[in-house]
Amino acid sequence: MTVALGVSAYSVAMFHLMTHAFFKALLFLAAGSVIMAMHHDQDIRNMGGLRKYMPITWITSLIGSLALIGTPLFSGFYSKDSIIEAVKYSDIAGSGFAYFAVLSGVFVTAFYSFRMYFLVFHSKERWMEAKPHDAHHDDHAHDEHHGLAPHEKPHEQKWVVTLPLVLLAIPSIFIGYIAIEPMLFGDFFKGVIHVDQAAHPAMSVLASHFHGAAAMALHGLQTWPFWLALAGVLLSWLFYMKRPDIPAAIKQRFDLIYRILDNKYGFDSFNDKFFAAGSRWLGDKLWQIGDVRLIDGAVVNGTARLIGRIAGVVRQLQSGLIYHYAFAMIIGAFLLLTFFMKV
Amino acid sequence: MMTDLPIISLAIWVPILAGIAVLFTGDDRRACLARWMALAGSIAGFLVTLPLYTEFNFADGGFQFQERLSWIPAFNIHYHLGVDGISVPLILLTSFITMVVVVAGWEVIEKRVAQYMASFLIMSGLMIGVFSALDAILYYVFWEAMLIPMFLVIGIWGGQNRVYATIKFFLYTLLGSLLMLVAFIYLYHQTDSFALVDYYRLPLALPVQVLIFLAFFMAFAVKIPMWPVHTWLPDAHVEAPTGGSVVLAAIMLKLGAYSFLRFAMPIAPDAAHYLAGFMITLSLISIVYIAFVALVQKDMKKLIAYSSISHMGFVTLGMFIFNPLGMEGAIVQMISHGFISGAMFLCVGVLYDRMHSRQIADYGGVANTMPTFAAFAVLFAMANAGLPGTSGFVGEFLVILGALQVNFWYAFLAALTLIFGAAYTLWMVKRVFYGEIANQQVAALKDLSKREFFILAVLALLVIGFGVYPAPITELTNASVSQLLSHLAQSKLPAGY
Repeated sequence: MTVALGVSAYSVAMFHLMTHAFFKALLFLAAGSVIMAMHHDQDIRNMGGLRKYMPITWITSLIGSLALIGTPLFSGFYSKDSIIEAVKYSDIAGSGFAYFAVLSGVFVTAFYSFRMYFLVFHSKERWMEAKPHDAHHDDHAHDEHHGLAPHEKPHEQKWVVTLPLVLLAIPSIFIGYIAIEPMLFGDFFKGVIHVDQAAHPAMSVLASHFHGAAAMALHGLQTWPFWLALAGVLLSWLFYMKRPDIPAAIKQRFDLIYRILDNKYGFDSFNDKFFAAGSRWLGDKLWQIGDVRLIDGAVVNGTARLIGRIAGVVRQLQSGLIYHYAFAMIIGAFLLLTFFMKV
Repeated sequence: MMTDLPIISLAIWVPILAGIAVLFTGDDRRACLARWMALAGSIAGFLVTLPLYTEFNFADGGFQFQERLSWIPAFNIHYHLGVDGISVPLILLTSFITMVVVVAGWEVIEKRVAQYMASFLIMSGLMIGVFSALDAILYYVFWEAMLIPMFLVIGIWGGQNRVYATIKFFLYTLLGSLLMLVAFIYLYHQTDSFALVDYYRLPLALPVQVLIFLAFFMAFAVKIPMWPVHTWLPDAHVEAPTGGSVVLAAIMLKLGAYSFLRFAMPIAPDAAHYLAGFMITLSLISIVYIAFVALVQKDMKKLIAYSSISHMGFVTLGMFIFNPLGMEGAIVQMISHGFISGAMFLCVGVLYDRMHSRQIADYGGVANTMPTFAAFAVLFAMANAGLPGTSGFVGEFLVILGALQVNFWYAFLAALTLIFGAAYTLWMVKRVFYGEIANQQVAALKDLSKREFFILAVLALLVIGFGVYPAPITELTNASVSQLLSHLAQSKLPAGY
């Protein structure tokens, strides 16, 4: 979506915002349905074959995934392909790289979406197997009793969970088809979004290529995004349904890349160490050295100690012994007479 | 007819006399009577302050409800009281918090109940005296007098290290105040009067103004507290009983900020401008440095104490950028902080009453066993972090907007509080309330009693109410702030300088 903003195709960005809202919300809620069925085990390596037990969640997840990868006729297709087209026809600096990037994104998106789909709803039922990956770091809270017991089976959730899934699946399919013409090429954003057509002709180029939603879908079957998405789906089918030994081999062979990706490029570790631990370190130093040692120790308690020490010395003058006082009086009188008397 | 009554005097003396009456109930055999009398006294004290709002003339930026009686004619000292748009919200806050504190201490204080309640009632009257005094000596008397009940509250009903904490609090504050007295005596010699309005009119050379301002600064900076004279506050809060912490945070700190507005700045406006950079620097250090220190605290009360210092940094920042947004933001922040930090200390009190620990490490998963309480605590934590929709946001936002008009970097550094405030508050909330139940004591916790619920609910309504609709406060302060700012814009240097 931000790519669309970058090429000044603002109406396309807003259109994608809307379609994305529907299918992404759908996918999240479907994931929630699965997690609840799995008694809060979120690890997809422990799932598999759930389509038999959760048909509504299964079909709506499939719909959401198809929308996400930009399958022609689904809503995501209209918004994503419009963005890709807008980037293609833009000549802002960097748009060439952006075009390459969004196309790669289409492939990877299709690949990971259907990796998840296959591992969760198809493939072998894995929750009753021994769990070698429980020792792995789990990012979510450690609930003592999560996950299904070996004899338990997952089942579809109640209507409060599945009804929203159905309600979201409907626009995930249709909203793109219905809304593209008025939103992108019609009067929907009239007076609201202004684009300098001379500097940024992307929208007018798109308009000239647009011949209706149905024609766009048909044409879509011949474009790069479609073939890349299809390739992604097929590759994930190959890797996770047909030959699961291949991804295992790749993980072993390219262990360094796997670990970089698993660690999210180190961003989280950096935030943890630099910002979080760094702030705590700074706070600790400011507190212990600044407040405790300097201000309280040296100044506040220090003055108290100093006064105590001075008082400890000065009070020795108050010896209570009369001959000390008499002696002081004599010495004082002598000094006064000798040095301070004006002769 | 209402304005014929000496309302301010009533506001001051009703709580004080009620406190003295409570003292006459004697020892703890009649603790029940003491409590109910104190409650009646605090409610009466609150009702008596309401006319200050209802009969207030919003268009008048000067002093209203004035009372002036000759007190010590030999030195031209008068019993001179008056309020304006800046003091009225603070007085209402004082009388309201007094009611809260009386209710909060109901079951918790078991020994010397009458004296405890009397201390707060008397303190309330004296603080209102500080907010309304227009004679320097009268102000000074109230200012010093209110230290004594607080000294007793911390020293008698406080925690283990209470004697150190209360003596530190008392001497620290007193030292600054003595310098303020010196300034007053100097001004008396210049004008033969202790009347504040005479000081406002007095022209003074810049070096003299700077010295006077610094003398006031010593007194008020300790009270607020500003970095670097802030270290008494964490100790005082940790050792004070819950009620003491609430009054300390909600009201006492504001006395320092109010006094800058009432005394230091109008009497020495050129010095205030001259030293504005110095004040702003100290404020920003308060905001940022203290936020980092708050992050690493292990004691909940110490964390909230440091948070208070950081929030008061906003108040002083708002005051010394000399524009209406900053000034009004500072005053709104004072009121809002009064409610929010009061509420947060009450929340810690709720936990302490049950677990007798303020250490974050002793808690975890409290939301599981005390869900209603957790809801309130999280609300107040969000308000403390400055969540829009709560009063905590309004003051901070106004001050940041005001700072932007002066210097982008002031606003940037001040705005960092939005991140840090959220960081330390929410991290504390996470460790205490969320996650797994940490131990058996947490598992055995009982949720709020009706009394605790009532106090927290009232405060929650106020926090959200003023967060959504702060106009009552800003309407009240508008005229007085404009008048103050125009006074501050005029130079008081004698002709020829």
